[in-house]
Amino acid sequence: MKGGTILVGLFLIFCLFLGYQYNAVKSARLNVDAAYGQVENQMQRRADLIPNLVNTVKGYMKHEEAQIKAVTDARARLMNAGSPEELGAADAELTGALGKLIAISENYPDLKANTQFTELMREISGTENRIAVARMDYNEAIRFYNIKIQTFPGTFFADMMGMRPLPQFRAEEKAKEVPQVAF
Amino acid sequence: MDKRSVLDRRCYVVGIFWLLLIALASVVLAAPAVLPKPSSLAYSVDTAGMITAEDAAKIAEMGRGLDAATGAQVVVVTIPSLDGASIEEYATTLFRNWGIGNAEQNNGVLLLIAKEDRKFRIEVGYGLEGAITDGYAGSVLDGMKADFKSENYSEAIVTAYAKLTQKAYEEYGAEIPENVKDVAEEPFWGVLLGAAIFFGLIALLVYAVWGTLKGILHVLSSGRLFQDSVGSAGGGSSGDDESGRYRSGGSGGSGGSFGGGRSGGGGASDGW
Repeated sequence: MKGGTILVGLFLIFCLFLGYQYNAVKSARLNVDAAYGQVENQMQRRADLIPNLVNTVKGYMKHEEAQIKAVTDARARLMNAGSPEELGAADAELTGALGKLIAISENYPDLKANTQFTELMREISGTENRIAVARMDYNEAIRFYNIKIQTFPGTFFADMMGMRPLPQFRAEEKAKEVPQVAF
Repeated sequence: MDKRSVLDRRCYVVGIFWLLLIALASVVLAAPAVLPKPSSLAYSVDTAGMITAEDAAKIAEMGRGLDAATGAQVVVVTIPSLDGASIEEYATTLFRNWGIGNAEQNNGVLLLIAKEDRKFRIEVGYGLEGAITDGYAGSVLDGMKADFKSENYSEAIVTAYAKLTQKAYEEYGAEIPENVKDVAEEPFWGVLLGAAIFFGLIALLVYAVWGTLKGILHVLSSGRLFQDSVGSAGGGSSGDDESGRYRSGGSGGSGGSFGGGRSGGGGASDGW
């Protein structure tokens, strides 16, 4: 009888342990999804600011249609991005195009004096920073998740739950530079 | 019973081992080494010697008031140098390490000033991003530039602090205390403010008289007593019934510690 009780007890403990590990892996995965949602959120925020920027800038930068178009195209590509890889690539492209546009805007002093432009640039700059932070948090969540499913005891559950290690959000070197606006 | 406790202990040990490993890894991989968190809550941490004792006291008074009323924490930190880190990274790391603002509401604001690098940044917690937009943060920094260029740091810092505190009060629709309002207004504009108030009062008088006249006409025509006058104009608040009713900071963050809030990288940076 005593042996039986011990076995039942051990079995219960084992079940609790299983449950705990399952929860741990699952919540790590959910954190990754939440962090990714935040990245998309901030990118969307920047994408929303861009039409305003284009409108403000168009009137002043009459001969820079090519660069303005580059920004608009990059934004469209970003909105259509599906996977994290596509998003990363589109984001890098948009950051590059925006950076060039900002650099060109240095040659238009009356544009720089426009308060709406100044305000918009601050918002975009702030959003770029938010994207950087969101990506950092996302990579952090992925790192934690990968550790969880690639180390004991998470490895058991990873296979059972069909969870694979995820790649980090790789930013190209260009994209890491937040467009600096000098006032 | 014995076997269970041994197994539990082993699970704990394994768990703690991994936690420590991850914690160590995150410390090693984390961004810059920032100023360590002070042992007790402080609204100004002045390691670069830019704030006078008197101004530090003013800041502490404003900060305490805001914290007690709303749980929001505005902290100003001055450092001699960023040591090569970017000010954005430094600010975000410091903000999160110290946990500025209430943990649930994320209503913290950090004003970080790096003296030798001649850079400053306002980092805003998630919860206050509506009141203190990137644009507004940028304009507060702009306001500091002139004074900073002439090395008149302390006053500019106090004014900026008051402006940020005022915005935080506005977010919660709370009554802005006199000491904050006085400082938030640029001293140079005091005269203009006086004139504006004077004309504002005249306009108010005219509006009130007109409103009363309208009211009397209305009463006479419909025979009903006109109860509420339209739009009571309050002092610094938005003048509607909601003013004075604010969300009290959940856990009462005035217990002398940072609330554990987070920032998402919002705010503005600039240099002088």
